[in-house]
Amino acid sequence: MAEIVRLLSSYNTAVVLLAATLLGAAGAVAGTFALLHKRSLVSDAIGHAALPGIAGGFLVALAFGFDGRNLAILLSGAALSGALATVMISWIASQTRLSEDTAIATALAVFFGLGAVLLSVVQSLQVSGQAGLDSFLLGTTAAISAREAGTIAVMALLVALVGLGLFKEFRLLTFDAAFAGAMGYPVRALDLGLMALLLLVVALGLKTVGLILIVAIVILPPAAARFWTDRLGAMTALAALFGAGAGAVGAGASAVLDDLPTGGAIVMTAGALLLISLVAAPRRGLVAQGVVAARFRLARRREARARSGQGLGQGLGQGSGQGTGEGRARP
Amino acid sequence: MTVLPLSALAAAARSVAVAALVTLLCTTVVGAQEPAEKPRVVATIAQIGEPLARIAGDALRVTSLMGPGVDPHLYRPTRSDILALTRADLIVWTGQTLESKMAGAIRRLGRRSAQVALIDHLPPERLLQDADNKRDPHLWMDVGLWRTALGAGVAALVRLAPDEADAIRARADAYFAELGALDAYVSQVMAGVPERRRVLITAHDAFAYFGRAYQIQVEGVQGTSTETEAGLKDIERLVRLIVERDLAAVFAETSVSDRNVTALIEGAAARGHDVVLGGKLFSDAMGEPGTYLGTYVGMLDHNGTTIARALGGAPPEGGFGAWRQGSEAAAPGAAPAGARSAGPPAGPSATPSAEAATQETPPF
Repeated sequence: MAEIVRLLSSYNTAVVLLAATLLGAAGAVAGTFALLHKRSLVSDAIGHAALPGIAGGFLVALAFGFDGRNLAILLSGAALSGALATVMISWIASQTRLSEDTAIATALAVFFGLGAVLLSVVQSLQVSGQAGLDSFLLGTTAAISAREAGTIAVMALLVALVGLGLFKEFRLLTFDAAFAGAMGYPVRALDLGLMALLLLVVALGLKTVGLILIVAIVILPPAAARFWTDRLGAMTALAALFGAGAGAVGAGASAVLDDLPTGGAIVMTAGALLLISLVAAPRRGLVAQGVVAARFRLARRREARARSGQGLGQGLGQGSGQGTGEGRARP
Repeated sequence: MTVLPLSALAAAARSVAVAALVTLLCTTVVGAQEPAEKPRVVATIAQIGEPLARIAGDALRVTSLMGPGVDPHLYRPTRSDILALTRADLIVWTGQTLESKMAGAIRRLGRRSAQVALIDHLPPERLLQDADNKRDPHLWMDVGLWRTALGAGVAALVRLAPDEADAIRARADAYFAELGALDAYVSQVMAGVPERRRVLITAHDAFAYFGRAYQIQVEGVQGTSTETEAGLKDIERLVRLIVERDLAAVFAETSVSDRNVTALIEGAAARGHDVVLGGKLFSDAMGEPGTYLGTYVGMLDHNGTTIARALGGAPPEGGFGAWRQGSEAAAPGAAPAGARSAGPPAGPSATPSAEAATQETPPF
């Protein structure tokens, strides 16, 4: 036990533990609204859309005589193309007859394809510094620096403030966008604002923890929280708790156990939380629903038996047939 | 016969098209072999292409597919690369575990032209295994080993241009003599680092052969491949190692993001131990072509000198070029003759001259 405490309190682990916890909470809050708005996959689209931004940023930096690996330019490129992708998704979903999942898939495919083309262009140029450019898409959780942890903390605070401040508006938007529009809320702006929140989380997460982890953090904890409650406030709080817990437990496990990549450990923890919720949550969980179904079958059988007992004089076959029919109609 | 079945028509059209294509291919292949045009040799990475271009001289046309700063593990061949491979009379590459994304294309095209995978020409007992029990392909990190590997390439060059065999062999001997000196130089500067501090910490394990050849313990944050991710425990272990062994520097690589190494520096600083970024090493990719760092010799000189200097050794000012001139001044007449490079890079020639000396001053 003392050994574990010592491991967890050493510098790198402490920084990563803090950053992963905060990022988990912030990602889960932004993800909750996205999930209820059926926009979970927007985070995936934003992540993939960062690729052309990074490759384009590299080319622009070279064209203006900067070092191609200039981090500010690369990250601005990633944020810009991510923002363009969200605008494109929002536009396709609202202005065309295509559904939202098609809009998301379209944006993802188009931007990632563009990124692949740009990377080939970069590859064919005779310039150095291009290697590992696409690895900018995949940050490494174990290597989060104190400054990055600070940035994540500020971002988490911002997400919490926006989420609280616009809670009522987001609730309206996610449950009844048409009603929100009729009430005079700027639905389109709110929709874009929600996606901007997601963009903020994903863009920052890409650089620090990588594409797969950030998508997992945005999607898994809200999905797990959904099993436990029907109230938006409770669900948001629970998702934040799950996200933070997954971040902390995953980072901690990676510091204590051998050969366990930090990002992977966090995703596994979040996945385990989802699995537990799926099985064990009251009312919506598989066990609870199984109990309800079993109770129902039991009641039906008891009813049928009672009926067949009553109709003993009228003949067995007919009575039991009637019983099942009524049992099925009852709920 | 009035109604010709559509399928028969299509088949006929297809066979005509195939025949045309085959003729076209044959003519291009034959065209490439006309005596007026020099045979084409295509190397995948510059570590192969640059030395072979120097050795081949004017007899052959040697080109490298991958430019500077490219990660060969992840390099995807473009259409023009495939075209270059198709037209090549000889393809020289490292082997399956390095140019993994191109291996299929090279094998297929290799049936038409000759192809040499250098790693297959080395005795298996001299190869190292990586974490996945595959052959570690970073052979060029050991100058002696790479010299043997390039020997297989030279043999293929001679087969391709038998008329020029003597000239090619002479240039190869001169170049290999230079590599012998380079090998001795790197060994010597590494031996100058205090034994306790002879630990090389880099972003990923491209330096296993370097470590074996020059007796330095190698630790990579990320493992052999650039695709695996580090765990927190690995980071903490390396931070402890830095503090315990009192290491002065860790190293970034030109082709890998330096996030992991930066985390090590921060972690060590938090324990009150100052460790610096010792410089960027060339692991998988060389520098810009046409510069000293864009040559194989320059790359290894840079790595050896940078590592030795940052870890507390005392490599000579001016690196390998200055060292070699010094040692040759001590033993005049040792320089092999008649081996001026004809390749594009302006690297140090096998016959040191005043002009070469100015170019040889490495930019660090």
